[in-house]
Amino acid sequence: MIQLEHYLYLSGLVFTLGLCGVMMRRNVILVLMGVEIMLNAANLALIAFNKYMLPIDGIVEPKGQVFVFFTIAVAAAEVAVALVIAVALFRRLDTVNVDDVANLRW
Amino acid sequence: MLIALVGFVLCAMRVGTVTGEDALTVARPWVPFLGVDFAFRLDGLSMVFALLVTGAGFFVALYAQAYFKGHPDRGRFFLFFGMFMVAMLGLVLADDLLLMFVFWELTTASSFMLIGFSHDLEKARASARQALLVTGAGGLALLAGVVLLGNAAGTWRISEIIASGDLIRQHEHYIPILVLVFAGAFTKSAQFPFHFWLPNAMAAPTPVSAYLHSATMVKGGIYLLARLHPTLAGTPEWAWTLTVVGAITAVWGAVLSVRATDLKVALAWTTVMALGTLTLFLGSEAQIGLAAAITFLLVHALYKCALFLVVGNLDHEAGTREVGLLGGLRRAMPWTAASAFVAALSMSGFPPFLGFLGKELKYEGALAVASEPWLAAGAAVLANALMVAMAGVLAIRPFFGPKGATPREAHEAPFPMLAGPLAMGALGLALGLMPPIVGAGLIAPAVQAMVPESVDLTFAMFHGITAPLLLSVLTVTLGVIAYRLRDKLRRVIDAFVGALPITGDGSYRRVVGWIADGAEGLTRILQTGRLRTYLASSFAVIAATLAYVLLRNGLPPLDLDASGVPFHKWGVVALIAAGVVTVLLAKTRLVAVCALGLVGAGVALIFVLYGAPDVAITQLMVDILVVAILGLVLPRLPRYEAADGTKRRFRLVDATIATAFGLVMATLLLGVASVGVDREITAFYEANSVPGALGRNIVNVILVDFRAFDTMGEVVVLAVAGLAAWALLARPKEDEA
Amino acid sequence: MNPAELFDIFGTEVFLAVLALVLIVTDLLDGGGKLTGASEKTRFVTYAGLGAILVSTFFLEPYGDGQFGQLDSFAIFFKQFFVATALLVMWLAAPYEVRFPAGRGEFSMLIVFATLGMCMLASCNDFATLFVGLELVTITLFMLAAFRPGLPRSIEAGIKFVIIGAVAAGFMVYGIAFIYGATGSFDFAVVHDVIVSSEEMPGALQFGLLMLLVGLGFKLGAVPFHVWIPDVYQGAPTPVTAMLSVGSKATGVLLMMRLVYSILGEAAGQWTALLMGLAFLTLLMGNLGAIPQTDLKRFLGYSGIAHAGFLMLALATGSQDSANAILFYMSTYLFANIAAFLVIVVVSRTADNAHMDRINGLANRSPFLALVLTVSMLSLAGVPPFAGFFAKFMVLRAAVDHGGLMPVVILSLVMVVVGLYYYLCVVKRIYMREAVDSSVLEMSGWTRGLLLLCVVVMFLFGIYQSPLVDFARAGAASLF
Repeated sequence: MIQLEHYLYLSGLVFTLGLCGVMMRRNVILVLMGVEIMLNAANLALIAFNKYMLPIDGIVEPKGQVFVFFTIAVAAAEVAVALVIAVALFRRLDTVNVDDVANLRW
Repeated sequence: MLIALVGFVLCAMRVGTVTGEDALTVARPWVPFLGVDFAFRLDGLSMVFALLVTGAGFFVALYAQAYFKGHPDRGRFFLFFGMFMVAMLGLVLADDLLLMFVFWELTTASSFMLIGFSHDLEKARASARQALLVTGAGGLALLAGVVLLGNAAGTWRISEIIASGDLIRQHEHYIPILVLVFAGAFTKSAQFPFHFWLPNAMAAPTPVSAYLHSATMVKGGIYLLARLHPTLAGTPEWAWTLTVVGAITAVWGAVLSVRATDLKVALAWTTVMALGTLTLFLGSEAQIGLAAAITFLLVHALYKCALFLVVGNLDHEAGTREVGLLGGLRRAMPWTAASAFVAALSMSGFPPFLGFLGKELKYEGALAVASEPWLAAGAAVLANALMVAMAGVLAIRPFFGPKGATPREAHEAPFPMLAGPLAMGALGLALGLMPPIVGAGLIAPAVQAMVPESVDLTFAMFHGITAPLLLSVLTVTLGVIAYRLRDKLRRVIDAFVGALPITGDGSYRRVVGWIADGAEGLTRILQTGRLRTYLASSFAVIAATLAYVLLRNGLPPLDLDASGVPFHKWGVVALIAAGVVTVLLAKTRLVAVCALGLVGAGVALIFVLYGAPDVAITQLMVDILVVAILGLVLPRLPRYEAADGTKRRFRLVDATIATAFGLVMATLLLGVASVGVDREITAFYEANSVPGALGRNIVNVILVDFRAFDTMGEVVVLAVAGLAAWALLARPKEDEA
Repeated sequence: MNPAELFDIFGTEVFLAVLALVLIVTDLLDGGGKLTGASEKTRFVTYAGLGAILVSTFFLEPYGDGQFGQLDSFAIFFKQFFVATALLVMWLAAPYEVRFPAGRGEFSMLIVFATLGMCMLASCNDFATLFVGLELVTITLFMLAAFRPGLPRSIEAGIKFVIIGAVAAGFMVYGIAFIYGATGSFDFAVVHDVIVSSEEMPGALQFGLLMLLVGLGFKLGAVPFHVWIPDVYQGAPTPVTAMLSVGSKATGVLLMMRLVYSILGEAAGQWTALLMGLAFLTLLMGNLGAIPQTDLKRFLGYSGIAHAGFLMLALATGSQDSANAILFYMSTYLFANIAAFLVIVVVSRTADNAHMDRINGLANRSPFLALVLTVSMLSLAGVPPFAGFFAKFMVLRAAVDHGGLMPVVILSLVMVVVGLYYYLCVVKRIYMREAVDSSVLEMSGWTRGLLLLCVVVMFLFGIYQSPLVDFARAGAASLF
């Protein structure tokens, strides 16, 4: 039988890979995608936990699922805002490479 | 100046009426919650210091009037000077530990402004900062000590703390308290190994040196030690530390003073010597030792302040303080010469000056030092002998002998600049002539404040032929010899000091330089401006933190059993994994975007498998939306990141950190998963905390009914995103700066 | 849903939401149907609205736990703090707003929205509210950091902020997922009960709390997510930096306090070592980083990290005294920072940057500004008799009481000395350097008034702390 653990492993794997993406990609858009993947991993974990909660009076409250709604919507807003800034970045500095944006330092 | 005079008169009126028993106390509650009061108390000990602060303050202020004549920043000088005087007065009168500390820091801060007064001089600025850092560091140590002491005693009132000496001495924090208080006192009073800042602070204008660095501020540490004497003294730790540190400081200060050729620096070193002597005596518990300390304090302030002002006159009128250039000024500056002479006699301890009385008491006190009388007496004799030599250098060299090549044609200083040194010199003589009055009026009450028993001291010029008298004779003889041999002595000391591997000043410079360089290096390594470095450093710390927690809990067994997982679920897992990897490695943007869509779809599939169809649909919708937006935005952005070989090293580092993070994370998850979620606890709290939530398993119902407020927040988030996008993108371009 | 309850707990939030709507409408009306965002009316409405809301917060009565949130004295303290911060930031922004050629109205609205999010956080008793509120604040601030899209540094600040912020949010959500997994609830009280009743914290819960801690560190400016602070502070428009340095940091403080005092509660002792370690690193990073700085805003960023370290030190003790100390600390920090940023706004008007050269010789150009900045620096450095000293004293006292924190206490003392050094370097520039720019510094009466207010507060609460101490104690009382 498939266990909660397996989903957690998957979620952990996805989270870590998303993190790798954030660290290793240079294009702003792809870095953002890495973040999206991390949030997806969190959603996965939430749903999995929700599924395996013990029922009370035969009912499992879908609290985890509700929370996932919030993360999905907020993540979308976050991506939108990040994209807006990325576009502004390109307009002003002609680049979307995060390595090129390093004038504020030390 | 007026403040000083009024204060002095007020204090002087109280002399004699104030003894240890009936002290003058004023208290107002300040921060009742912490038990901190705005309390002042004037007892014998405070009286001596208060008299010094106001008396010397008056003469120095008078002197400064003339010294700074025509100086553009004169107003500022007097502002800081007044501030300092008030702070110093507050320090010696405060009856609340915290209040005392506040004044302590205020003296540090205002002295910083005073030392750095001639701010066009780089040296003045550097030494102002050095003085501030050393005393500031000590001040903070003192703060910690004060907090510990206050906690141990259960009160902030100094008068109450004094009464609970036994409690403190047996307290478990006694040693930390002692160390911290010492750190504060030693830095402030320029004790070894923090002695180096005082001579450097001589970059300050003369009135400042005279006032702060001889009469008042540096005595702050001494005051602190004296004030806390009843509480902290009486243990071997106290006695030994003070005796040894005091002796080293005294001898070392005396030795270095002989070496100095700048008269002011020489004076500064003699001050270090005097402070060392005072510390030495505070180490003892005998009344005579404490009496010696107080007497010497008074003596020292009188002659040292006078001498500083004399040197200031020389500097001001002759244009130099180099001992080699000065000479034969007796005729040009008769009054200055006279005051120098009187002060020097008191300094070298000739009868009938107060200095003699001080010195006799010193020897008597030294012999009474419990821990190591001969060490104390030996140090005192050696230091005093060198003092006699220095007194000679100060009073004889500039005024007698052949005329020196001074940069300016010397002439006598104006009256306000003479009044101070003369008056203080005369006071030294006058007080020396009436020892009983000084003894009963000032010294005895001060000692009374430090020791609980009744004080029984006799003060007289001549006690008969006693050990101290013999020592005095020895001192003077040695001193005269040292004076004659001073040039040779100077060369020997020079060679010796030059051979020293470590000096206080050098260490200070090294430490400060090291911190500054280190700080700069650190920010250059960690704050490169590159997002990559930032994330890498963050992840590294998080990985380390996780690893720490992991190790604390022990490594979990590796237990991965994937048998029995149905095939279609493996398919979903594979889909997600493939998607993620593709996003990571994609060479073109379109592929990456599609792969991201794939991941989203895979996650949505899992949601479906887990019986959360509503969430799955939302996930899919948002996923499609995000992919669509990305698709719309992408054509407006440049194609892709260029391949770039030079950054390979960085990528390797990043990959390593990411892998490390992944590994830690994976191990931890294994741990979490195999320990399992404690479902019974969960069930218990589920049952108890939400009894009313029945029959609502529809996500959307909950969303609007139970989480209405959060939903509103969410809507606002989305609104903000829209609003902001409008503001940033739809507006015409602006400020191209 | 019970409307009365909603209003009793979230009255301030409702007012703020209404204010934001009114702002939009005013702006639209004024611009003839378009968002012009440049009208005097919007600004007036913002001031009046925020002022009225601030007054209203003083009439809030503790309500206790509700269905959607809670209103205890702690929440009330922070609501007052946040609304006051918003008002001061708007006030501070007045001389700066000309530099937003477009979007002044949006600026006010976004500040109001951010404040709304902050107040939500003050009342949250649930991880869902926490997450949504936090994201509301953060996303708004992302935008505000990049609010001058024509200015490269503003854009750079925005992009760095958004990416690091999103990653931190990812960590936090992941942590919340595991907290949920271990306890079956998002409710603070339930999580607290599970923590206290379990012999040893379940692994999932520890992991989750740790991730949450890291995510909150992002707001507070504590290691390991402090990295964004210097860059974003330097690049963002100055009023936004002020908002970040006070308001945003305070949300971190607030949530950390809820985490340590309410959620961990009696179990906080297990976390002392961890918090102490993070406090140690934060103190080190902030103070050492501040030494070589030449940009005032960047400098204040590092100094902000250093202050976060101090606050972490207080948090690590977990005692009631430390909670009082933190609230007092934040209040004094608010005024010192607002004063410093306002001075920056005034002196950077001609060159539009905050290089430290701009304050050289300030004493000759404007003795008043010089005094304000000096007092602010000394208060931040913790020199008596200014309020900052007493704040540090209270933290130290709480930490010393704890006993087990000695290594960090000693480090913090060393760091205070380092701090003294770099704050005085700024003071030295004010009094002891030649001015590079001798143009006249113009200030409106309102700006002067605000500066004066800050100085008076810093000085007054430095010598007569009782009212503020009592205020902070009342605020922290409900945590215990």
